Amino acid sequence: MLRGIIISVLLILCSVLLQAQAPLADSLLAYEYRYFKCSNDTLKQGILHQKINYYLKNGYTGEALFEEHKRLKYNLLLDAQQKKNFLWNATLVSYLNNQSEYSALYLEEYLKATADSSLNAELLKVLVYKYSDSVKVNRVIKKLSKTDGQFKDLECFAEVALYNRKHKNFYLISSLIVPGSGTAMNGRALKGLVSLALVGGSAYGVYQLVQYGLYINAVLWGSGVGLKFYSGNVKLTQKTFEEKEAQQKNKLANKCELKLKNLLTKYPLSLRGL
Amino acid sequence: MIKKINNYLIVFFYVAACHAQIDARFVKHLATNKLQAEHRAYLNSFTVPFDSLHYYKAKYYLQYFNDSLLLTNYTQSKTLCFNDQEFIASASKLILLQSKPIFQDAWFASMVNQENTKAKKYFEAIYMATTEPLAFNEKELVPELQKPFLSYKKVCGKKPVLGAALSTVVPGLGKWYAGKPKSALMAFVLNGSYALQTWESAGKLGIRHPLTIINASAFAIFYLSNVYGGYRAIVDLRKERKKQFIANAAGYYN
Repeated sequence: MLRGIIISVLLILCSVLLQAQAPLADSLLAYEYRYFKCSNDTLKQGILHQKINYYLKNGYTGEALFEEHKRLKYNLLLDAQQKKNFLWNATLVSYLNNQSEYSALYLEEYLKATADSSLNAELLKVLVYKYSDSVKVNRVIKKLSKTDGQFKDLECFAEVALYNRKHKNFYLISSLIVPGSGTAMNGRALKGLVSLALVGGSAYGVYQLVQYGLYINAVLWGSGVGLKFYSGNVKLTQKTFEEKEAQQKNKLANKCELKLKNLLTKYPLSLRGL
Repeated sequence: MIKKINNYLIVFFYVAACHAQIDARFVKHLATNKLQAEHRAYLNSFTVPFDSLHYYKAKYYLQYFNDSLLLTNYTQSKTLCFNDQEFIASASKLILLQSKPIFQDAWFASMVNQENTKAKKYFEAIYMATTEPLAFNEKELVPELQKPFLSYKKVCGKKPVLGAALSTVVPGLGKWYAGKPKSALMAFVLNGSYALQTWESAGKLGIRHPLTIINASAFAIFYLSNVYGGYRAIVDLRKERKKQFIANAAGYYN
């Protein structure tokens, strides 16, 4: 009887010890331990692939997973299908982690390994190259539009990539002639008015100082404060111009991303081999 | 008989679990590959504390720097930690560079009774040089570090209050004293300009005229800033030279 109780207590203690860890970190540790203990390089890559899939099954696509992808030598994966799935998932994970160079690299390797020309693969190309290679993206979109006219909407990514706001010098010269005008034309009317008031007020103040014969004051206030306001007005115009440019580019990009999101709902890109 | 064997086996496994040894090569593998989550999970899997566990935990908190937990685990495994001179050197370096003085004091106080090793002697000397620079003899340092130390010691000999007092007498003089001639000249010109403006407007428009009041207020603001600047210049320079000296010392040890 006593022996039975002791055994039960010990079993409970052991099970508590085994269950105490957070499941994800614990399982990752188990995979890593197997990887570490394994002496065969090919088998090691298989274990690492299982670890990556475990991350994915648990819905984790963050930086740690991206780093695991970088560790895996995919050329040593024996199963061809396993290698294809890895490259596909690696492209998506790199894309989700904003690692555009890696996502392009994995995609190229995937295409080399599979010669996949399916709709999903073409859509993945758009995703990876959308801001970096407008020629390639447009070619893919042309091909995809034959299947579904909705893909034509994605041409907007090329516009985003090539977008540049024109006539920057016009705004700057305008502010040099009439302080604040360039800033106001960039959509910051209040800031433009404040610029005009400050520069105008300084000029008027300096003029009044000269009228009163306060020449030292006129020179020092004019060169110290007046010039600072004047050059600040030009700098502000440049800053507001760049802000407006970024704002319009973002607006265009957001519209495009929304269109892409709609298409991805229609043609979802899912992780493979899980 | 079988029951007996089973009982012994269970007891054996439980005892083995309690006294499990850490796989040092595996820990090194986790540290090299920067697998933080796995590293933490592995160390936390040992529920019964023992010396080497604290040592590995101290190493973990050194890698993913957390000075408070590093110190806690270090104090519980001092002997093991102290046998690892690479650990002592890296920890001393990081604590000197990144920790608050309270942790620095605790870290170096804990090393007092330990054996005099190369890393201990070297970093203790650096610590002493930074805490009491005026009393420290630069010849205790290696020749390569004497120059940056002397440059730090020189600034420590200067008094911030004297810097402020000099700036009160002549604007910018405190910065000159701190060894910043360009800043000193700027402060002098700026204060001189405002003084000149105030003098001109007071002479021509009278002392109660709004322009004179504006000029005098601007002058007062710049003058007081210059006095405070004379004080700050020396305090900031001390910090900057100290940081530079520690960085040089850490780099030299590598």
